[in-house]
Amino acid sequence: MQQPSLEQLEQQQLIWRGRESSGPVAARPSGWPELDRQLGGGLPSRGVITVQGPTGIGELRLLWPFLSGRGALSGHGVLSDHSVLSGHGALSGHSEHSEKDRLVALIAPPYPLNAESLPGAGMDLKRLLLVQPGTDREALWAAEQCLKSGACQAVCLWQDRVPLVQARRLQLAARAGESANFLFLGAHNAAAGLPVDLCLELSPHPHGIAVSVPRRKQGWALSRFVVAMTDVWPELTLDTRPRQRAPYSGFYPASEPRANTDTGARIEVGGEVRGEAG
Amino acid sequence: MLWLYFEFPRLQLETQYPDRDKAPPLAVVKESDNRLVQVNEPASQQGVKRDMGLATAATLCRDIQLLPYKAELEVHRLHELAQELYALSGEVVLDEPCGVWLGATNMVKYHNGFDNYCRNIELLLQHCRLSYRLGCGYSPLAAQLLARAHLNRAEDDPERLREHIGRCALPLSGLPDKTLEKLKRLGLQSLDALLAIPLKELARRFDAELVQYIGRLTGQLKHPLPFYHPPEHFHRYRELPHELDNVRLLVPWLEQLLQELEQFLQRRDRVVERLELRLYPREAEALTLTIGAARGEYRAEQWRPLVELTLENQTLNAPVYALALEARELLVKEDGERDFFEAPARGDAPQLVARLQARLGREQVRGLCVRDDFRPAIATALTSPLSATDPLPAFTLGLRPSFLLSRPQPYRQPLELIEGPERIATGWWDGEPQKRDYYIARNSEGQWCWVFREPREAVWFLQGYFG
Repeated sequence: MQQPSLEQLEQQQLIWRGRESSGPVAARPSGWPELDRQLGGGLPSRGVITVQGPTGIGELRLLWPFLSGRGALSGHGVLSDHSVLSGHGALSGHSEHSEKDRLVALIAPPYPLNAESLPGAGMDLKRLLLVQPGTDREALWAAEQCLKSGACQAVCLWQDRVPLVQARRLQLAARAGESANFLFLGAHNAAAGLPVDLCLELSPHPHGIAVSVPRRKQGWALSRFVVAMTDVWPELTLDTRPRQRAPYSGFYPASEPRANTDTGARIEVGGEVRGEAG
Repeated sequence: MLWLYFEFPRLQLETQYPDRDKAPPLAVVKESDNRLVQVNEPASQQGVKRDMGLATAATLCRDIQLLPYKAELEVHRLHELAQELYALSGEVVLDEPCGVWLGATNMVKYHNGFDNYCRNIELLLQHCRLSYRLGCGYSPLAAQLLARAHLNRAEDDPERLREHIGRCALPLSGLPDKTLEKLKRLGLQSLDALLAIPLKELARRFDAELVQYIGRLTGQLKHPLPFYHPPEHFHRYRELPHELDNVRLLVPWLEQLLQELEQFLQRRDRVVERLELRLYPREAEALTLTIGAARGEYRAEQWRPLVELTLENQTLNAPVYALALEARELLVKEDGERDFFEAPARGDAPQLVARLQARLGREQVRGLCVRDDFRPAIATALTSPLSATDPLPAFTLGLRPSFLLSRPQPYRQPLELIEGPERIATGWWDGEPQKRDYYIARNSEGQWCWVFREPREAVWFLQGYFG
């Protein structure tokens, strides 16, 4: 059998070179104390971070405090501006101010984004750049441009998988632009072998979201831990409240909401009128 | 009043082949009589001359390239040139297709003397890489006459100018052949002799045309001329010397046009947000490309990458023979809000947006905004990126998912309802009435769904995910 060449070994990430370890990447608090504790300070403020897991389990909610650059959320829609940021020592080189001003680019998200949800998550709509390219190639090009430009503090890119060469390009671009690239990879095992700073594997959990870190640049792999979201999004966690099961068909909920709906009023669970339109 | 007249004997040729050094032997042919009207340097070195027939020229120079004469090309270039000249001299009069008058009297003091004035104009023309003939005179016709007589000297001494005019042969005047014949029979050879005759005498013997000509030449009669006014918007049209079928080859041509745009805008202290580039393929509709910058820009170096990115996506079905660049809406330059001492912001967001839009298309790069509507699909709207958003509606919303399906889908898997219902009943006024009970639900895979059901209907619809 032929001996693998040095290049091949290098491509498979089997070689560690001393000169490449360029000191710890500055971490920025994620807004979740548990996550920060586990990662030792927070998420890398620049570099590539792969995120894997099903859509709709809280993956964006986990990242919004980091993306918004405002720190922690307390109760949905309410920002605590004396945030976790001040509590942590591990601030990156940028001031809090500059991260708040830079853009967040969302490239090729799996579904259209709902603008109504963003202010509640602390995101400033003005800073949001939504890119919907026609092809994967264009998506990767756009991500690279966004990262390289230095105008974005974070770039979220949704792809099934990313070729090794492209991942390397993204990493270089992220370093050059001092930007964090969240790669949401859809395919199974897509992050294996990619040169990334942090791999996050997310899975649903009744109290929030379960995170495991199979691989990261600085530090050891971390086994599954839970980031609790009960305080911030009580509606999106399971607690001990009694539940109503949704009927599959031919069955109305026992309590039809009472409302004078024809006037366009908005009704919440208890029939409380929240706002009037029309 | 002192006038300068410039005649451009090779205007079309030098417009289509601006690079004099690299040009092959070239000639412009008038197709009506197959005679050469413009000949470039390499061709004339091989003995080809103006007014030669096609056959003679081809015999003298075998590899001569021929361009058909098009007056409209010259006129177009002349207008562009007038714009340039207008920056130096306020009174510009066009003599289509290839001449231009400049009123010098009022301009001399701004240029610190007549010699300086002439030098500045000549420097500009050399920069434009055009060959020209210059004439000066105290009437427009006198200046024109001396230019045609190849005087090529900037002079403002009235006596000497009179002498020069006197020495001109009569045919240079451009009078009709019949009149010239008549003058010849009378033994008048040069203008000197003609000018010696008083106007009244001339009027008795000749037609009004000659009298008017002489009157205007000497300045005794008025010669009203329409002054040139610079256009309000930028438009350049270039016909290429040969057809190009690769967009990359168009880039050097565009670069020149962008330079001209920069000058045009800089002089007016204006910027543009949008350029229209038109490519004219042979035997097909012109292809119009709109190139946008996220904020007003005048610099060619900023426009260049945007133009290149836009062109990259284009494939040409047919070779292009001409191109045009147009900028209509000139905007006032906005000063950056950054002050002198503040550190420059890292990364240029508008520039990034412009780059992305140039390659991916305007509609592919957007921002989000919230509209004042209860219907989730209507409340979220796409806007132009980086635009300031309206203040949010004053009411507190229920929890909203981050992903919204573009079209609600029937959902048949088991769901656990966690929160709800939130009834949204609205839209009765605009023909899209909606009455839905929304629930936050969790499915067996642990995904958080936003589902709804219409009252008294059994089917659940998935509206979004709480990502």
